[in-house]
Amino acid sequence: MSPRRVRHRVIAAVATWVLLATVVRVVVALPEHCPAVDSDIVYASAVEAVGWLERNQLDDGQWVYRYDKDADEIVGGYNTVRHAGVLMSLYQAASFDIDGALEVADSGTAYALDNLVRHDDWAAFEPSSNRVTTGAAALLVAGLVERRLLTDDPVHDDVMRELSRFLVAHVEPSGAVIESWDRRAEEPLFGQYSPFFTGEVYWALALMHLVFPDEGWDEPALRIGEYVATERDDAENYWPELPDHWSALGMWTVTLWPDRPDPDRPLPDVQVPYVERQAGLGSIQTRYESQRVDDWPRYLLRGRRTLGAGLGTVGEHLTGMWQVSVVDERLAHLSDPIAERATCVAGMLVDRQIDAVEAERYGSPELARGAWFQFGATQMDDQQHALSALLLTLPILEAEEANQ
Amino acid sequence: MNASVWVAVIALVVAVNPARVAVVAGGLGEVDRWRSSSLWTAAGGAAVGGALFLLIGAVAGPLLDAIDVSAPTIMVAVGLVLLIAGAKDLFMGPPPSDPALAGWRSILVPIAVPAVARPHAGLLVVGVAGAYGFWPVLAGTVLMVAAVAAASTAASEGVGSRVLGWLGAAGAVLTAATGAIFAVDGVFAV
Repeated sequence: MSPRRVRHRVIAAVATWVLLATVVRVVVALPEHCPAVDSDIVYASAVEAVGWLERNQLDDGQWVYRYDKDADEIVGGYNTVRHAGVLMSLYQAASFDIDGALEVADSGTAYALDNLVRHDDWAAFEPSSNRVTTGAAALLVAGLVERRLLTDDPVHDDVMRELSRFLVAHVEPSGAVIESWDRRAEEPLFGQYSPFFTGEVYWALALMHLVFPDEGWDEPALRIGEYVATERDDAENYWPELPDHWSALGMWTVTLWPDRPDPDRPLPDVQVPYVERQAGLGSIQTRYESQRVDDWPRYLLRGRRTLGAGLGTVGEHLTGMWQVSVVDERLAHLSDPIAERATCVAGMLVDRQIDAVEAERYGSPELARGAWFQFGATQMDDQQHALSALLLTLPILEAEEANQ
Repeated sequence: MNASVWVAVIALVVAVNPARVAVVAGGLGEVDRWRSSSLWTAAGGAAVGGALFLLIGAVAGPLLDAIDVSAPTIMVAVGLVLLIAGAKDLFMGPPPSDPALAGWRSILVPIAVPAVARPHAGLLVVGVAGAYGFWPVLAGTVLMVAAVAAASTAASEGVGSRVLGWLGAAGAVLTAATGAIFAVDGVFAV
């Protein structure tokens, strides 16, 4: 046997190891970027997001919808559901004692209440379209409940009930939620469902039961929750399973109901495996996003970084489930890994937000500061979802800091 | 990670594919075997390869931290690589016994390298150590050495050869199957 041939064999074997390690590192096991954050940093980032919404609110209570920083141009258009979402996030910010958030949210609420659609015994929120969505009403309810919990002010109680009756009127016996009401035909748009509104309605009704526990809002909420966990993906043709941040917030709210039969296991049984699956979806989204870098060649493998709204919803999703996992003993094993992923999302959000110094590089710093951009543009819902995600991560960080 | 730790232990054994190692050892000339024995040669090579796995397993956790790769992500990579390696083993024979070092040194080449210390098995060790810790690596390595020794007792000709062929194919299928489990588990891990 020739020593040279043996040497070649060993070299070939080593080369195979090196080649495999290189391919795995370059293609699959990319570094995950999770910038370190603490509660002060995250809070400051949330304050900056509120600042954007405060500076860019119009006189009538609406917000700048979309801004292109490269063209230094405010782009037209508006979205009613997102208006309700923004005011809801601002009420959340107010509950975290961020100055000015309550007043800005109240201005947004005034606009919403000036644009209600009333029919039978219910009300909905839609300024102009014939498509009156359950999503806008649900997020308006959620915002008003946040306000009610914060201020104890009953001024909006009646309209909250009117809006919630609209929501209940669109919940089918199965728990499915009809997407909207047709203003012209004066009837629900039967057979049309939304990937987002179902969870929004679930959350809104769960919140209503939290503040009005004797009015029966829990029954439709639980019906929706069971439908989401067991039937929705098949019935509405979602594959793979739909990651639903709104339902995560809904489940968290259900765990807060004081009338749940077992305080250590407040989540309905059917939702326990659902949370386990959803936590996996939120986690893979986090790991994938944390591998994204906009520079060549990395974006060829993972694509460009997601929207602020996209990353924010991942954070809302994870933080909602974290709250469930720390309350329900059946999900306690998920608490630490979910906290780790949610903190990673918060770190990415902080890292990607335009700060005051960076904003000065653009034509309209007041429209850039505190915002999240993709392809040079930001929308008000980028700030909304990112703001909520940051706020909802604070309890995780504060719990960790308290343990240190 | 949701997959059982026992899947990880079994994966370490089948990724090396003891039947294929036994075929390589059986193909050595008598003069090229340690103590003129396929059993000693194969087991010795498995022990050397296993020692390398233990070394990798001991540093895998800090290594993954240093390169910012989470356990689920490396297990997705492990799963994909095992799927390919299993398919390759199913359709391609074991490496040739020649060239080999003479005498006892044949445990190094061709047994430890390239038959036992296979790159996909090394990657698997990194993933298992990162996801489950060192002990499954140790357990899998010990079982792997024992399985290689057991497989090498089969004759490399006649019925024994056919048995090793079937066992090698079964190992390849199991390698691919564990790869699929790890890939799916890594994707959906929290």
